[in-house]
Amino acid sequence: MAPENDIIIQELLATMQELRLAIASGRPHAQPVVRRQSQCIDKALPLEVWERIFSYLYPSQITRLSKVNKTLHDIVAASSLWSKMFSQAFGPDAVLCTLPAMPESKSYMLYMCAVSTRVCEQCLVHAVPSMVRSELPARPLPVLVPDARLRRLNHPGPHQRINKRDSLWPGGKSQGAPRLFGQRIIYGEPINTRWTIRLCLPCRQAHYETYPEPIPKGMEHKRVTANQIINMGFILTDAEIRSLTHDPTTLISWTEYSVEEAFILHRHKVGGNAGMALLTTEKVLWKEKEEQNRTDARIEEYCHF
Amino acid sequence: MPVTLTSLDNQEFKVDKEVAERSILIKNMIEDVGESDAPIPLPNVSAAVLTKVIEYCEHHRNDPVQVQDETDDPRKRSNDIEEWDMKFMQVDQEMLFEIILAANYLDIKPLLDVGCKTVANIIKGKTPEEIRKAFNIVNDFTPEEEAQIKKENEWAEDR
Repeated sequence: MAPENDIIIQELLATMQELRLAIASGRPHAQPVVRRQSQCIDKALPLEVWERIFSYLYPSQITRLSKVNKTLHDIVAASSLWSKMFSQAFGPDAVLCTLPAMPESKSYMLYMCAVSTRVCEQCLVHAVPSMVRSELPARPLPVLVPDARLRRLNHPGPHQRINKRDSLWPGGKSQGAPRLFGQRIIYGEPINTRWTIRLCLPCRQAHYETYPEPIPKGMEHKRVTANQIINMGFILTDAEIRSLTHDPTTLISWTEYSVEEAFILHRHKVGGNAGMALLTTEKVLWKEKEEQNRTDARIEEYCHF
Repeated sequence: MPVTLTSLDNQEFKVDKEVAERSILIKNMIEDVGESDAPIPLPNVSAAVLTKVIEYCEHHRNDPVQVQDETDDPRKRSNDIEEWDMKFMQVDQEMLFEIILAANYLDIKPLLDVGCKTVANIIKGKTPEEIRKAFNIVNDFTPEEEAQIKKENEWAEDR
């Protein structure tokens, strides 16, 4: 028997039970409570509405939705967004060998998930894997997205110094603090400031223009020579170093430049802290190779489904 | 001239023509039928939902027709919900879905957008378990299916 019938029968039984109780209690015209089958979101909305909801979400969020239950998995897998995404990432002429025994849209979903470490969730560009150190930051990297509703409340201006403990960033004091929702203040609700999306270098740069990362304390007044800047691992050209704040009256080899400005410029060039971490981590190339192998294995796996 | 709308449960609603015509479906109906006093039946919308939808259309009766900028990334726009709309959408979930369905059926694009943005904002940044809690959904995957889907559908996130 179909599960819907089961539910209808159960509801009928419940209504009858209520009628029986009403009769037993001696109420002459007791109205049975009309129960409506409780609608859950997964069954309530048609695919066309879901597609519209998906247009407001990033791929990683949509795939998380697909893990909620079977109905939502099928809705996500049936969406045309995956094949559109495939064309955007690999060009309009690219062809995917779709898998037998499943809807075409699902093949696209599985493939896009397999290559997800190489696709920018914002512009959907596919970054060709590279083992050249200076090209590593071009790879899409996870970026922390602050809660936009919170940002409206107390968002620091560009490059404004914010105290880490009071900030909206993970571990900050604002976790659990009262928050404004519309005109209501909501107390005692945990705030999720920890969600990431994967962005390529240009998208990260644009992202951090809007949501600047805090500048570490303690480098405000420090000045160092050009050589020291290079030794710190900052990827800056001579011209860029000379454009930093310095005392123009000193000899070139003695000139001292602002560390803070060098840091900001370098961080911008590699696309934020995520890009910096990729370059400064020890054994970075080894880790990168591992990551690439993992993605290659997932693509290989797709071909064997 | 006012227009009469009849809901699923046969309640009649008298509304101004310009309010009713926020719905493209009704607008087309009126154009097809011409001037008439006959009530317009809306067999897919209950009185409770129609009341909400009319409230929305009344508030937005003078809004200019939206020109959607296609080049704009909708994911960035999901937070641009007007204060009034945000409060309007603070209803229980069943009503939220019913409003979305009614907006879809009546073809009221701005209302459909606000509804979809509201749902998207609930989903955003949540883990599957948190989404289940938010929407009161039961996980019906077997452990094997869950493991399989976790492997296949992972948008690789290193955190």
